[in-house]
Amino acid sequence: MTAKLLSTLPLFSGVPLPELKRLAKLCPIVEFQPRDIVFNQGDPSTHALLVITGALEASTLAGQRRTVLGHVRAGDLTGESGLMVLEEGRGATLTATHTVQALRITREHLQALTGTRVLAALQIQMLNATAFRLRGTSEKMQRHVRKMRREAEDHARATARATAAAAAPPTKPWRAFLDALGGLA
Amino acid sequence: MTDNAPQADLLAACGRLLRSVRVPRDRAEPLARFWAPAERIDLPAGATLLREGDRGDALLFVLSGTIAVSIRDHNGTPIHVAQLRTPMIIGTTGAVDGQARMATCTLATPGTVLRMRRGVFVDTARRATPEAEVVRELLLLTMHKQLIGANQRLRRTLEASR
Repeated sequence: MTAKLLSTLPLFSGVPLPELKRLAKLCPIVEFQPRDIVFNQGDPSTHALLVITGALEASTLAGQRRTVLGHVRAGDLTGESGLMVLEEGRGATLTATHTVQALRITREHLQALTGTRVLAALQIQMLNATAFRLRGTSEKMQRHVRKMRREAEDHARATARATAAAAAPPTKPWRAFLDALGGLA
Repeated sequence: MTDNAPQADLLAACGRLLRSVRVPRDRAEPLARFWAPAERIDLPAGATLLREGDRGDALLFVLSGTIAVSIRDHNGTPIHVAQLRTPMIIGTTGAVDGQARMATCTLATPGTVLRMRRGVFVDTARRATPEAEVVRELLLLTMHKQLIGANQRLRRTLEASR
């Protein structure tokens, strides 16, 4: 039943049914009701969820300010940082907005799927999701660099010290910021 | 060495890349084999590897040389952002999603580059082979590490500027 449902998800297009059966057998199905918190920002990243049905909302909390980052729908893989070797906490809180059925996938499950097309499909989905996020972060960083450059030019013009401003060496945190942006190329 | 064996500089570069994300070095051979269909190009200092705004049509593995990264400011003037050491795979995001390049990369010193067309990359990376598995794992770990570092830096910088 689950394998048939999985075969309808675009990410598994072309993946043989026996491999989807293996995935369904390996990974437990978890269910959530609307308003259930699936995981909290800062929780240890131990697994990812492949949403089979339903929808969820990802949000962050900074001080008292809650920001909705986006929505996760059937066919999406979410919390995939839990499948990386790197240790880190969840970057966002995930809340069910509808009744959700999902596969709970761990690093061990991926290892057990070595040599299969189902592993390739999952990892390609993860690559696409990570590329999407990298692009978003890069755009925010670039906007900030351009804003800083414009402000520096305005300031230099106002104080008629354009040459001095242009020659000023970047501060250490700013250098680190630019290095991080350069790394996204 | 047989005709099919990866070249020594490629194998060494693969080993170094894998070590940087803690993937065992014994997977350097399949990673080097993944790059077999790529075109090998020796380039002079100043050569453009990627241009900001161009469509992501290839994945580049820069085996040697130093990479200078720049973005354009509000006037279209290049802002030097960073220098990257090699070996390094660049143009990953564009190669994965096929969208516009996010920065311009040039060689600051002469270097050797492997260039794989996006179509070949996408087709090869989808396979259930050891070569494809190691490249997917390497790219995921590298991109994820970059994303975490950049997000932390962005958060700190925005907080400090408030």
